Amino acid sequence: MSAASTEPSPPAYAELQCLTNFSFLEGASHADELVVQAAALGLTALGVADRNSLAGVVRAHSAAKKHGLRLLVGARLDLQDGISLLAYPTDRAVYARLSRLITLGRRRAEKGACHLYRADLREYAQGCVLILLPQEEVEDALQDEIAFYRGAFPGFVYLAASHALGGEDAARIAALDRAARRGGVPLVATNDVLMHTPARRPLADMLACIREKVVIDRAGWLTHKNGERHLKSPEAMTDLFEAYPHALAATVEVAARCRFSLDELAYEYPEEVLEDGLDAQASLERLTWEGAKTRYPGGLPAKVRAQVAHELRLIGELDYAPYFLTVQDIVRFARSQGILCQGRGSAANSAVCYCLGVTAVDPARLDLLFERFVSAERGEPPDIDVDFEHERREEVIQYIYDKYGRHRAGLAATVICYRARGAVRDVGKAMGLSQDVTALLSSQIWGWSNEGVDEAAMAEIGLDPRDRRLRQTIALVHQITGFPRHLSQHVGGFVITRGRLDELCPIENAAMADRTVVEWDKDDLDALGILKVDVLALGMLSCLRKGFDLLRRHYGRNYDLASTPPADKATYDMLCRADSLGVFQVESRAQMAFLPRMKPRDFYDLVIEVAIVRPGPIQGDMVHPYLRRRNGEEQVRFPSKELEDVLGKTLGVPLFQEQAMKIAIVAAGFEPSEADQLRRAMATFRKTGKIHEFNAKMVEGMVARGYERDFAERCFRQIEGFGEYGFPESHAASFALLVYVSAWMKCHYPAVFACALLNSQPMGFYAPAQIIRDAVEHGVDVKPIDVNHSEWDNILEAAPTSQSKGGYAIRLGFRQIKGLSQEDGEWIAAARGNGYAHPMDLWRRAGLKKRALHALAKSDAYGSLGLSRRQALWAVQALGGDRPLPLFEAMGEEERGEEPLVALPEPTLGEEVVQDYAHLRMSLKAHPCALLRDTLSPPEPDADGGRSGDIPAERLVQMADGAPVTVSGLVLVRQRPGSAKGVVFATLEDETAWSNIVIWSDAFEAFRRPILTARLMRVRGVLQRQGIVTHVVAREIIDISSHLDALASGVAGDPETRFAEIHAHADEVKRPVYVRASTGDRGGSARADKVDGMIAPAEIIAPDPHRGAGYRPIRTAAGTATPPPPLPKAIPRPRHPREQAKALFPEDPMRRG
Amino acid sequence: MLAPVSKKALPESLLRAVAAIEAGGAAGTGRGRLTTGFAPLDAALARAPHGQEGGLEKGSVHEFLGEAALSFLLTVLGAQSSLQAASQPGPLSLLWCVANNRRDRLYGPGLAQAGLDPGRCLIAACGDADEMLWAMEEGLRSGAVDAVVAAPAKPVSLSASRRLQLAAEEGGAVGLVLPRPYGAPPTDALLAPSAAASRWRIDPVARDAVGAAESWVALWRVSLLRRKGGLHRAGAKASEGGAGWLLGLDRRGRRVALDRETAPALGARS
Amino acid sequence: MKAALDSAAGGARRIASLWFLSLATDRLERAQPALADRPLATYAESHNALLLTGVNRAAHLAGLTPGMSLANARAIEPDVVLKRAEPEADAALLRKLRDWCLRYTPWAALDGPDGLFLDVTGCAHLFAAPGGSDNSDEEALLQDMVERLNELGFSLRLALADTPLAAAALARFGPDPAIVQTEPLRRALAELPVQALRIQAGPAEDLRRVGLRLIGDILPLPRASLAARFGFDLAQRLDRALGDLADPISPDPFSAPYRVRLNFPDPIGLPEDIARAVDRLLARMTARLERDGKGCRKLELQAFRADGDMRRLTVGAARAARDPKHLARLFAERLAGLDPGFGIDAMVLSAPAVEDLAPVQEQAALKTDAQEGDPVGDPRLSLLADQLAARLGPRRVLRFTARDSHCPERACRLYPVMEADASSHAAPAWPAWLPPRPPLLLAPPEPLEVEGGSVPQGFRWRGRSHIIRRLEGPERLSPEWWLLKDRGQDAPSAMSARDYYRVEDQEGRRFWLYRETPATARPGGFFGGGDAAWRLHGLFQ
Repeated sequence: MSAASTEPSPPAYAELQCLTNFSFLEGASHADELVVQAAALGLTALGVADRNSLAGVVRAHSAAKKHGLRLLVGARLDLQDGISLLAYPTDRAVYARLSRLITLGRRRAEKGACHLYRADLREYAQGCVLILLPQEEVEDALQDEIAFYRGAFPGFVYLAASHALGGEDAARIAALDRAARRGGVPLVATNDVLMHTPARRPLADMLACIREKVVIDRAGWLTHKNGERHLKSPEAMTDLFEAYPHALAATVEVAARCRFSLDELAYEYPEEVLEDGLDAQASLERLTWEGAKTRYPGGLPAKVRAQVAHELRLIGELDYAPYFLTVQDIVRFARSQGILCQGRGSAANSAVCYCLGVTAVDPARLDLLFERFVSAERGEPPDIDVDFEHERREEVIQYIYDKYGRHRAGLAATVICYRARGAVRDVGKAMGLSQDVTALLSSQIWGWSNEGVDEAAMAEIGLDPRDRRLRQTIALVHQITGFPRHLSQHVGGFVITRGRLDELCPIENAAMADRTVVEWDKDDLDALGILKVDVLALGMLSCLRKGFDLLRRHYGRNYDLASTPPADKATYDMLCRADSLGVFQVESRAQMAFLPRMKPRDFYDLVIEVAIVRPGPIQGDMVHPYLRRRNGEEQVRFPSKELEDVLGKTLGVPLFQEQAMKIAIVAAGFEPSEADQLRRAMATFRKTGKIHEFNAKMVEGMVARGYERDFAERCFRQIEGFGEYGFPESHAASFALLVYVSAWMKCHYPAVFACALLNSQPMGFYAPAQIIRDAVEHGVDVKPIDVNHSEWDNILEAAPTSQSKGGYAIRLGFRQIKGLSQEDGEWIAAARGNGYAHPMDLWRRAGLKKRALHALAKSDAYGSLGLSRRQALWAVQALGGDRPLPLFEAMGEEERGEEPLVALPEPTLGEEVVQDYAHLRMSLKAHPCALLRDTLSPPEPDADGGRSGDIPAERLVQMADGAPVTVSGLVLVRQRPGSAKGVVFATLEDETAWSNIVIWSDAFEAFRRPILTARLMRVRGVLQRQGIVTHVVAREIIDISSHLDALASGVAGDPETRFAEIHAHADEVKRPVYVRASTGDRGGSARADKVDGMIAPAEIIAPDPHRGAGYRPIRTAAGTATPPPPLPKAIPRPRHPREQAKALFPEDPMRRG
Repeated sequence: MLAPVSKKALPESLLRAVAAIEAGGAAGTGRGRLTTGFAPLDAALARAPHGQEGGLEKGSVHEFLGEAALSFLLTVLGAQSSLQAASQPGPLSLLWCVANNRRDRLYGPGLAQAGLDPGRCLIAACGDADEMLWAMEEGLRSGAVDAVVAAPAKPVSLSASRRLQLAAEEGGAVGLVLPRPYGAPPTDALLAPSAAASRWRIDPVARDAVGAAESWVALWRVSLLRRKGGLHRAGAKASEGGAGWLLGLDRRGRRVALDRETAPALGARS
Repeated sequence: MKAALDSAAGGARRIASLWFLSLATDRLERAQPALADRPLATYAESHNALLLTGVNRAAHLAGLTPGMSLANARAIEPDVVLKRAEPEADAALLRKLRDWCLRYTPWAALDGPDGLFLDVTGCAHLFAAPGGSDNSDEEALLQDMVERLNELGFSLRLALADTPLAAAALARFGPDPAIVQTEPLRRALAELPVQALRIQAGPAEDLRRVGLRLIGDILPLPRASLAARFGFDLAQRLDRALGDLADPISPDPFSAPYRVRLNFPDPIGLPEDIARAVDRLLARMTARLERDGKGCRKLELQAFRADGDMRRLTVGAARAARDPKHLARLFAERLAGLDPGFGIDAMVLSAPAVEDLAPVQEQAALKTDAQEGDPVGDPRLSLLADQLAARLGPRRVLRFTARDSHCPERACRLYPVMEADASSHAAPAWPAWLPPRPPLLLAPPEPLEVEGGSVPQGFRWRGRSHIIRRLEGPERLSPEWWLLKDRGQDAPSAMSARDYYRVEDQEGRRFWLYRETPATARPGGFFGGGDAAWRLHGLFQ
């Protein structure tokens, strides 16, 4: 106290022990919250040191720069064999070693863990300031630790002391001070921070509960006894460490010593890609001009030549040549392996990229300005994403690892953050809420929203919004949302460096084998200006490659993305008809509704088509104005001359991401750098919500410049929408090419397209059943799976005698069978020889196990053996074990004796169809609705002429707008899009067509149960037509699934019995009778319910487009996944040739074939 | 004639029972002692001069007066408890007889820090003095607990103390009585006749008063006012009505006796 | 018992199967009749999901079925009343129903969680309508069961057949009510689905796949072929259903309560006589307990007085006990309070709470080492506790358990030894690393007058002044936010914390004080705030 008069200078303090929320489920504040608080408190510096990690430092660095705070970047090292310590590098070289040290620890441990030892430090931690973190008890062991570190790192070692108001701090700090003096190291004060304000204590407790998987009421000592581990002001720290001014001074001293800043990390492009003797720019120019010759065999058009030259000049100025070379190298490798790929991204649709083969969009077909994508003022790396076939992308990834080495190439991380739903689940559990309540809470969160749960919504679902626990839970859910949960790998963002990557950033193992990931995500890399190449997977590319292969093999035609005949009239005609099932991007219901209105006639129309039916333009209400203008119903006018340049191509309607940015610049007066922040905010909108800061600025800016407020607000809403999924024009152009090529293939080679599509599943919106049905409707013959004809993949079979379009039929492959492994499928084909005569042959020759034989029988794949499904099942059920005994098999059969022939009841067609659906999710035999047609639409209309039964869906198109209609069909999809609150869309399928049902919320409430549970649904409503799109607006919904049960029970063939059965079923309602599973099978029956079409609530909340007509009979007593009975293992059995083959050729020759 | 049995041949449970008898758990003169954990005190309380086992006699009742009686007793019981926990019978089992209406209540974490296992402490909340005496007798006689501690509101009468002493002899347990009015004990309490085996007075000592080091947790002035059979240690002069020690417990849980030379201030007091 | 059944099986046995199809909801509706009109369902957790286990009629009509997830059920029928399933209560109720059915036949047995078997061979004529046939006798019998049980609030389906399996099958899958004679048994069974044979779900599904749906489909097939494909079990069940294979049912023995009675020819009143009577009752009771391997936690003595009054005495034990001497001691303390009036003419001793007690455990009373899982730890301590509780009262003999909590009041719980249950010995260990805690805690903490500014210099407590010579701390303990009751305290910033200090006064007395830290105090500041309230919370002597 008396010292204060002689030392008037204000207290100074740097906090050196601070965890961010990148110490997952421990740190309770975001890095930027900590930085803002530290700056506000006037700390000299803030040291951020997460547990064995540098994952959070970039965010802290960016925030610190913004708020003018000195940041120390470091890590807390938790050792396997000693006390923990903080390590702060003093310069770039030391930082590099620290990064390598963490890499070492992480690479030798499983994902998420880090194993470091004292010995590692000796090697890597030289030059780091090391602050030892003593454990609770100050003991002799600490003295030894101090001695060790002081010996190993003289002059760099400090001992931390914290005053957390724990009760015995005074004595403890005194002991530490003594220990420090005795050990000859300075004492340094810290506050062991894990939150920026004490108000985060509940959250910190909650994180501990989630981490340790306990309920808060039982968390006990896991909770924090007080909230003192927050950032404190220098004054407060001076109060706490009154007796130890030297410990406070030491913090400032450490801050002064550690001058390293992340700004010093200079990114350097890799050099491998250079041509011999040439520098990067020269290499790029040579490759580009060479490529141009191949692209334009007839000579380079002058316009393109000029553009290439211009682009090369710009690339040279900005020194981006190595980047283009790197991308070119990856693409060249993919090409050499026959892997289909295509670039997109801001820099992709340049003439240079086209010449390099990175993209297939001829710049002559488009008119894109290169500067828009690569500009000096943005000062950041260009962006090229390359899509590869999804099934072969791994080869590309491994090529990159091989070429640059794991120490120089790594995948970017993706920070998995808490979304509202996960937050509700975890917090609800830790708060001790019942699963039921938690499920209710999260049921109120549609999709990926950040909104949490509001009070009205809670009351609606029957929860008391005043309940304390619930309120606390919701408050915590809000706080925890956006917190990082763990690091995952980015889908394909590669970082490649010239020097060691692990000296830039720690590298750790990914969850997937053979993958390594850097600790930073794409925003972090962006912030530091580090190059990233996105190596992405795209299912459609797999499909197209398979299609091109089939075209080559069966038709002798050689095409690729760039050489597909352009401007094909038949293809555009088909798209105008919305005949686009399976076509890339335009197959969704929304796109199909839009196509006939858009009437695309050329490539740029497709570009717009791809860009316009997106949440951004829809949310910004840009779709209708565009269509009106395009159809000449509205005059094209521009709000201003300056915007005419920006929006000219899109008829005055902003559709692309860069147009939105450009509007912000020219119309709202944004600086280019601000527009760039806006663009970033778009990308991370959902995470941070920062975009709202720009709202006022943009709208007011535009109004001030004379724009209508309404237009300004629409522009802004659209930008918000881009946050969800916005397309820059160049992305749209690359995608449009895939739209065109896939449409062309479907138009001219429907069998090839359907076959390739089936073999690339799962992808797209439609299930195999719909793809096959669509193919059939396009005149393609589809043949059933058969052990004597099918391969694993679906194949084309020459069908010269049939009428199949193109002379080929699709033979369904074993891959369509649920529960059959690829290996089994391939062995069936390989061991077929002259064909199988009996299911036993597959057992013997292909080495199939009982389970696989069953799966084949259930899928009715023994047709060519003359066995019906039932007969086949009867036959395979008799097989005793899983493997035949090759030597004694004949004897075994004799012993059993010839079985008497058994006449099994003949199945009805209905049963067959239902079984087909159960095992293949489709049937080639008939559609259930066709079998039920007489029931659904009784031949004679009712006497009163009012309701005349259900009309087949195909007749909907002939009905007048507003006509009352009744349709029925299998429920294919139920969707409740987040954008259309309260409205449910359903798609029904009958034997003729699909019908689109719109259910408004009042109808939904009234018919909740049939909507949620019906597998076969009848809808009474009113037909509504917009263009060629028709929906039925539902007035009444009836669950008629019982018809299906009747079909499945095999009595549907005979109307008498059928009605008796249906009546019997209806009778059940009078007296509750239901068949219960016996107690022992409860679990089994619960599973069976799920499999058998009980509608999981998730279906309606998060529509899953992959679900097809998943009709399966509900009344089956058990799931199909009954495990086979255990086999006696003791008996050694001779090896099947297949096992021997596997031993001999571990590479599996079958796969190669 | 019984052949001598090798102890190895006996089952462990029997061995334990034998050990218990040898340790003096049963009746007879060979009772064990409850160590205090303070070497000089234990030595002074040993049956024979320089006897190996020293401490409070089991099977008898002892009275502790004075403001710091509870903390000192806890230290003593804690010492015995750790000793037992490390060897055979496990941590000390106790019966606490307390008045039902007291506002200061025994607190488990505090007992645990003293070295006791609170789980093995039975609390009898007694409605009045009669109930408390009855409960003490029951506890002492039962043989179920190692010690019975009682904090009666008033000193125990001579006749009651006789009954307690008999019960303690019967059950082999130690009875510890610490009348607990707040403040220093009144003179009549110090002089009241009693059948207890010993009577002590424990006063707190300010650390400043003895210039004790920072690490001390508690300091006691322990006076032995009265003891059946007297002290065997010749050196302990009963200067002012009994022998006195200055004892303390430091932060690490070490029990230390300070002698008068290091604590000259002590002599000046009381 | 078995002999009786076998002899009955000599002729044609007649077995009735009763299936209570909504036992759980019936039980709830009986307790709360208002529920009957509303959709009601029970649920339980299964594989981490909450699934319905039982539904009432209204819920069934609304489309709810057992096995459905709770979320789905709510979506389909938002008004459904959901109750957690209580299988034990259902089982107890079913046992009661079984006992109730003894009015029809002595041979009644449980069948799964919701069914009963009654062997009613030769019983039907008791319910015969005058002049009716055998068949109508049986119908009358079933009719009687249905009417009575319906009246009691149970829905059920029932069937009567020659074998238990057939009866159970018909009750669940057949026409209602089904009374099937031997001859048409084959035909009656043929109409039922194969699941009615209670075969496993797997074989049932396999059968269905090959089109063998009804029992009639498999009856003509070679048993060997069936066995090879669908298991031996199926063939065997067919035989059992048809009566080709004996299928005995064994009624469970009554779980009669532990209850012994003593009648006195002349009313007794002398304390010695009463004590002797209690001893005799105890001897008989403990003998029964011993035979069954049980011990009692509670004993109730009813004394029926000559004047028609009845007096009741209850004693409890901290752990299951059956030593008559020990139990007698427990009573001894209480018998003095038993007023015999003009004499007692009968006494009944019952043990409403019994637990398994192995003979070994009893002997453990001689051992001294602690027992795993014993609420008190040492059996001798338990005996002492029982004795003390008998006089002081069961809530006056207490024991500590630790609780993991930073809050001093909550870190330790004193609970009556008599109330010890399984949960109380799962208590956590006493933490060794806490800062010093006093052995005496004041409840509630007492207000203090504190002198001095931010650093207290002295205080007055109970009229005495203390000068603070030493002060250690503070230890800041913030409230456990998840327990806060007050709505206004949702925001953690509104919470106040306690700063605890250990102080020593001029005499060396040591105290545990705390100061309420107002939430408005400067963050990190803790020596400020003049208006802070001080309390004394503990004493170290």
